[in-house]
Amino acid sequence: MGEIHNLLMELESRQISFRILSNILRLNDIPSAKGWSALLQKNFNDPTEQKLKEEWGVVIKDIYLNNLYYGDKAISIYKIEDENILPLLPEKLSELVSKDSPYIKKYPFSIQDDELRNLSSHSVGTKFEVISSDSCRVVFCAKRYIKAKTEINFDDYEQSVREAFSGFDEVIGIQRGCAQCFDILHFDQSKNQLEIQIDLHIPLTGDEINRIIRQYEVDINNWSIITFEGKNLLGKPLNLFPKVRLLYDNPEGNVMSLGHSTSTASIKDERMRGKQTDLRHEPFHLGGLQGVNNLTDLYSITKNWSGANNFYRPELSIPGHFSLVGNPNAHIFQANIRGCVSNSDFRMVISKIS
Amino acid sequence: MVEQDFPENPAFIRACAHVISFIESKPLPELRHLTFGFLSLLIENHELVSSVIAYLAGDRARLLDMRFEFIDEDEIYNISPEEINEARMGGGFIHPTTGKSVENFEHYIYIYFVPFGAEMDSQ
Repeated sequence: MGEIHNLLMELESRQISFRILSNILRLNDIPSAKGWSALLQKNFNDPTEQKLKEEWGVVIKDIYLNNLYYGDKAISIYKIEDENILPLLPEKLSELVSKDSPYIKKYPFSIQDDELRNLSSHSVGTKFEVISSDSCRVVFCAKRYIKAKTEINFDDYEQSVREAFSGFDEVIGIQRGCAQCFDILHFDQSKNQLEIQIDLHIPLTGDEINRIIRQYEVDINNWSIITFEGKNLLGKPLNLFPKVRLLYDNPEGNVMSLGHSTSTASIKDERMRGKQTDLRHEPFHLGGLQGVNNLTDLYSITKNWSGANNFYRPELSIPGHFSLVGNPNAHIFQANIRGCVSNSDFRMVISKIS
Repeated sequence: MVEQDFPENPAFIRACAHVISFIESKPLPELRHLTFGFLSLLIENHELVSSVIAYLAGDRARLLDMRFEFIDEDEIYNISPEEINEARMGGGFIHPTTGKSVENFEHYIYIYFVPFGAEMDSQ
């Protein structure tokens, strides 16, 4: 198998949206196919010109890296205010990389599954990278568990098993596995902010994301106490709850979903079916707001913006619960960013909340 | 046109007229997603629902455009008629995000209608 095939297998394991991948391939005059199975069977080693094959390899590797760095992430943002620490950070952050990281030999790709299974779940600083004159990142790798649902086909089993399950239309089996995740600690010097970005290429619940981020905070502050003479680097993350209202009121982009609690004692979770339409212009939504004289408290929002091409729209979601609206100290410490295909998409989305 | 096509069927003409006048009286933002269930509310004679919708969405009347959605748990994807036709011809249906073949894909495909020629949300 050639390099292109291997890159595509890595992209498949990262569960990149196939529709987006196909569009990017076509945009770059690289043949795509109908589904992963057909794409992976394509013979990219065909007697096409060597130069062309190399160009395709560069493009597909770029797609892979963009997915690794700017694919779906949950993020928490921390403002760094200590003037003594700020200038030292870019250099010092490189110390978070472990020379013994078991992930480094295959980085930026994933290690073999059987090797991954034997590792601890604790994340390991694996690579320090300078992105630009005022930004850098530490990439952490971690093993995380996944559960996959598989339908069990009765016909594959003997009569007694088929009889035992005869009362069921479907029998679903749960398979446990593990996946290598790439989390990022991103430093943006122009905004004096650090971001913990959790890889969402596998599904994680809000509680799981919260637990992972809290563990990073502990680990980074333990390191910081030694590195910066007893000082914690990370305080509380930026409170994103007030951003829900600001995002709703800012007319740009499309509001895809909104959670709000009305003065007439109802709780509304509204959502548009597609990404191209804006809830704020939808007649039912507008009529409802008029009916309650706009007296409603917002607690969650999903919004999207145009991407560089019309086949995707980067998306930001601030997940909140209706109980937040009754709390004078309401806070949401984490947002989810999905659908980005480049650094500029990702930074554009983050700029909406920081 | 309906009178010409069905001169002997006043109930059918009446049912079509109800739907046509409804569609013509509403702005496009209110007609982005008309389900079979919704359209059947406009047609008093329930035995005529399927045939009225088939006629109004047919090549001759061209009032309603049939659209397809693939719904996988909470995710909704608009699917082009070409993709559906190809899948039904035996080409298989590929999940837009996972890129994997979907078994029993018809189970996850839903139809709705929009006024003929309305723009389609491709994402």
